[in-house]
Amino acid sequence: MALQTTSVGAVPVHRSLRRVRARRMRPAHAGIAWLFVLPFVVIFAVFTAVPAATAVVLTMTDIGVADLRDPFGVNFVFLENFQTVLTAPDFLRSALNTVIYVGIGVPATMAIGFLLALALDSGIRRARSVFRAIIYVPVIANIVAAAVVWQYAFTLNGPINSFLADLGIVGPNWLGTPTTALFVVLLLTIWRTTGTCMVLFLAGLQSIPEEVHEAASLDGAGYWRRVFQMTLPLLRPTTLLVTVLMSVMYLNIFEEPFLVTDGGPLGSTKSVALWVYEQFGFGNMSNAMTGSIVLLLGVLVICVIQFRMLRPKQ
Amino acid sequence: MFTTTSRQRRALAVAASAVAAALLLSGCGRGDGDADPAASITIDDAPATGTLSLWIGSGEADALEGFLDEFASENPDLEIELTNVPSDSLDTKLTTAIASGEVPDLTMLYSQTQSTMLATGGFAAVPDGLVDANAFFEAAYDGTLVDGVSHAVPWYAYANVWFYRKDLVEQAGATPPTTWDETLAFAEQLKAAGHPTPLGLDVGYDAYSAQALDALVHQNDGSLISDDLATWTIDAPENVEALEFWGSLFAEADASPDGPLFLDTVPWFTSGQTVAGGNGPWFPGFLDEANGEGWSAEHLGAIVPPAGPDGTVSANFGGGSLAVLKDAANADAAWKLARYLAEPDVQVAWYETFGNLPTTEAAWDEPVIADNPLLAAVRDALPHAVAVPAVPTWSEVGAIIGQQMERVARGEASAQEALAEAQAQAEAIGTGIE
Amino acid sequence: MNRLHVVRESGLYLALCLVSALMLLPFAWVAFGAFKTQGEFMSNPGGWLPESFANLDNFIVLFTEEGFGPYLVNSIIVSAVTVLANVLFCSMAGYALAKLPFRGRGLLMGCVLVAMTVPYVALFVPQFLITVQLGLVNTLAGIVAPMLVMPLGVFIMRQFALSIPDELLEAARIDGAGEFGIFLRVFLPLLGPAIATVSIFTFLASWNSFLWPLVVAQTEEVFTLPVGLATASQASNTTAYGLLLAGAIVVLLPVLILFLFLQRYFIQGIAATGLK
Repeated sequence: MALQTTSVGAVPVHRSLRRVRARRMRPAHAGIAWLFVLPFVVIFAVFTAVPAATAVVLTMTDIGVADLRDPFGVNFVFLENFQTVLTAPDFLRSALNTVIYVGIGVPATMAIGFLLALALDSGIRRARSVFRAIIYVPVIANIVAAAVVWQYAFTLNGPINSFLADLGIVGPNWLGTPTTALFVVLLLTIWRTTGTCMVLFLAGLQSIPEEVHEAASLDGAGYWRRVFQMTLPLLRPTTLLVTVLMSVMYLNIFEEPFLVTDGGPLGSTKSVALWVYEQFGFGNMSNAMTGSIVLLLGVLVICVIQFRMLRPKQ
Repeated sequence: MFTTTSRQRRALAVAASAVAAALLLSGCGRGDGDADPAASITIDDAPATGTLSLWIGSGEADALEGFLDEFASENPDLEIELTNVPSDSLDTKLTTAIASGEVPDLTMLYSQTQSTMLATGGFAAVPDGLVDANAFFEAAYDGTLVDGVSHAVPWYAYANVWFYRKDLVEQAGATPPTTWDETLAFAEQLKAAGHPTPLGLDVGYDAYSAQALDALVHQNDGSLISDDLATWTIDAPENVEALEFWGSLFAEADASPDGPLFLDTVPWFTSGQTVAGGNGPWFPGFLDEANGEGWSAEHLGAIVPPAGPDGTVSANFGGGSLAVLKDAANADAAWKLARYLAEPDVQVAWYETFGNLPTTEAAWDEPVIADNPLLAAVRDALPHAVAVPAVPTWSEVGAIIGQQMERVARGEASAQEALAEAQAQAEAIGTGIE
Repeated sequence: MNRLHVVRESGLYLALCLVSALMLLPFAWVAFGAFKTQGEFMSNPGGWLPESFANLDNFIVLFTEEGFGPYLVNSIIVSAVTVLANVLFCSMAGYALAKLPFRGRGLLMGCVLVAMTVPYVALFVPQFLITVQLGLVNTLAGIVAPMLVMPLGVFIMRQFALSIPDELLEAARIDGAGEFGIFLRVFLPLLGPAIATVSIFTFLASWNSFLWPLVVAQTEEVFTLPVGLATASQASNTTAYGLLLAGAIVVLLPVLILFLFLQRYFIQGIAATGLK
């Protein structure tokens, strides 16, 4: 694929070309361009923008379960909900948990995914596609079944503790102790997302031209030095995308704690998204909407910071 | 890539405030709540006609499909559309449906979340004279009340009772407990006979644990909520005593704070790791499934949960009811089916088909139920059973109480501290009833 | 190849086999569990092998009593339409966002990125109200509609389009081709790997989607597999584990097959997007 190589060297040329052409663009083209994006615009407007705007408006009301049949019957309380939510201990706890999920999960998943990609790209010569497929399988699996496995594996008398007992170790009550429960949920999430990281890094590695490696190995640079000094800087765009995708995924983490621990014990595994879902269940629509807007703002801020930090150096 | 021009920003601001203004102009603020005319409708005895859409939780739905054949033949011009809804998601699905007005005619509700669902205002009052309120167990009927008006027909009911391994109890020379004090002595005897942590308590530390506490609270003549349902009374002295008793079972190592959980219950009971514990009437069936038909009859006994210090008996009530949606297209047929399913002989037939127990006291006199020794305790407990507080915020407050119970079970907080904390959080939430 | 290389490569194989085992171990339990009875789960939850692999009851129940056949058809329709629509619409949007300068392009790109990050659990109530207004409740169209143009698909297509040299398009333009002609004749034929990538991502998203079809589908005629799996496995007061695990296998197989067929193009496609 000749196309793959264009991503490395040719970018600045494209940018300048585009800028030149932009000035030449005839007005008629703008209409055509809108036709091209029309399907996206329509679906985005109907199923994301309008619901999101509704949600934002509703965060300023006291909407509850009794208002569902008559949403115009709500009272405006403006920013009171934000005050309620941002001072609620269990919301703050779930925000802290989410930060922990992101803080540990994102680097861990990316490190494992990157090492696996390195091994598959340059370490071995046979059976690559087999390993690639196996490592990706958890990504496509149904989470409900996976969660049952996890729940069972880590119960008090479950297989993990039996295994530890064989080694002479008394295993903890994994799902009943706050720190270990968080660890178990993280482990499931890492298991489910490593494949995505690996595939993305693999694609990035494959788009680094062979000559770059050859030049470096002629210099006699050691393997890990080459990885750090050549490969990683060249992978910067990939790393940015993976960081953003993984951060978004971990910030919105919901199914894993919901299915494995239901947020417990003592709220130690509850994520913000799970908190939001619970508030819906309790009928606190205004809290739920407010919590999710706070979460969305958090996601956006983190993404913007990452874009700034990891932007390709000029 | 996130940059917008100032014009675009202004456009967004205008759009947002337009939506807000539209909402305001349309006259926000709640009215006094329209009077519900449904109660004055009469449902006649003519056969139902038209199409009846029905949402049933996934456990019951498969069995109900064939069970409705008789009703269908009595109502030949009625077409029944039964939808099997994943039981965990029934409430979510109903909530969205009510918000949109695209609702089924009849749905089942689970007793644990019934009040929250009824608070949506999406359900019609039960028409006067449709069913006889006195025919039902009190706990089953009271759970359907909103402001004193029934909004659902009780369909099936159970009380959680204590199951115990009669062989192991006999070997230990113990007798099943009837009071709290006897419970402590019972556990001592079993421990002495080589059964560490013989009692299996609900240690999920969620709203179900809180329900277990609710039973203890009633055994101690207390209540988690005031009689008018307007105020939480979680940290009342009787309730603290009840939680102290529960906590002492862990402190004395009569029960483990770590289990049984998840799939452990059946294997622990089978192996004798758990000798006695509370569970629903379906539990013997699970044990038979695992260990072969007849195992439960041979190894299991059932008793009404031990009474409190003053001899008060109480147990957790659970079950399901049938409710008709306000926006139902065929309310007439919906009420007729609900009435049919609440008839004692139909409820007995339903027990024989699926195992769900009747809500009408009369049905319990039928031999097929009355003669089942493992059900005797359930029948004795049902008249004393208490449903969860019938307020819309119970799921939320119950979850808080369950969380606080974990601190007591693990010895991290006293019963007083835990309930005071729960009370403070519950007060902030309110009961949802004024 | 010197000896050091051989040692290192063998070590890597060993490590990869270990990782693969960790990845696959849970599936082995799921796959074996599909052949167990409820009694086997109750008596020995951690048991590894089923008593008999000839016990196909779980699969039979799924396809007879639980109606998995029609659900499978619905899922295939939903996913096929989702994939086709996304391939077409996302490539159109991606092409315009990368290659056609127009007013509001930056804002639109911002919308794509924001849409990728939205926690959708927050939006399903308003989304459902809109679906009701559109008259799409209880239809497959209602299930598909919000997924027709996924933001991640637009993003991937746009990144891919950026990597296509402008000279190619410019040449066609000079030859007098219109924008639609260029899109169809120059751009689309180059899209192969990106189509594989978008297909897999959007297929996965629609195939495994649960909450939305659950809410939109009001009768069993429009249930999809994940909804059917939930109804089949949630028995009264317990979980039907055998049905759950057998159902999970049924749900997994089509995606697995699709992935195995497309995996080479899939990774090429991601690589070709340039990941800028």
